[in-house]
Amino acid sequence: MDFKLIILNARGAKMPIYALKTTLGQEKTVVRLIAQKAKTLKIPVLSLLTTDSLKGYIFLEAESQESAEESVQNLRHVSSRVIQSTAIPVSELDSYLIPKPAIEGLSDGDIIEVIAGPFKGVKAKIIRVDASREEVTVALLEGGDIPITLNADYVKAIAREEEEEDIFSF
Amino acid sequence: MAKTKACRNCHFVVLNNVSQCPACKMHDLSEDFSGLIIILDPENSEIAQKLNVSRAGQYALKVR
Ligand SMILES: [Zn+2]
Repeated sequence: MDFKLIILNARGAKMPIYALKTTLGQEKTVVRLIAQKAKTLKIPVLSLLTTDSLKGYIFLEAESQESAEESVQNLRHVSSRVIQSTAIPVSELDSYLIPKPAIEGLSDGDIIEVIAGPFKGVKAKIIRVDASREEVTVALLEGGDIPITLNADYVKAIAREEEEEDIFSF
Repeated sequence: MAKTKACRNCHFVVLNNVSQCPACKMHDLSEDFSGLIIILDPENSEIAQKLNVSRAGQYALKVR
């Protein structure tokens, strides 16, 4: 990995983020320990992050490299050495931070199944997709004409409109 | 490590014996989550701002 050190500060600028190597499997333990230490000792660490897609690393948002180093000093399962060249701007983390929105891949006419909430297990047809709010409005296949609006995370597409049309195309 | 679960609505992470999310008050908690974000200083954290989080705490990156 080739993270570039980017020092950004002053008003309106971005906080640096540092990547640190950890023992495999200890990422969550390490971030919790750092958080406790930073809180107790009032070290200006703003946030910590681990993702399952990048094992053996954690990310740390801190006011300065000194704060980052102080927060991991003498902790087990985390290397304090790699900090120096591993600050990265928040924007490069976007792909880790924002899980692919569930709304992508949903479109009008799709048949969905509700997978959470009070309508769990119910099948419905999408009549409107609101990508900006990540919501879909659906009509239940059975029982009731009243459209309901759901968070896209609560639904799973089970059939596409084009697939239905395909049935008649051969 | 204590067993935890995450709120499907706002991703706040709580201990397993909790039944209501203290952040958004929903009861939709899941043990199946991945990634972990700890927000210590929501006012100044850019990650907190990106995630639209205003409360310090632990958050799951993804909740199933
Ligand atoms: Zn919640």
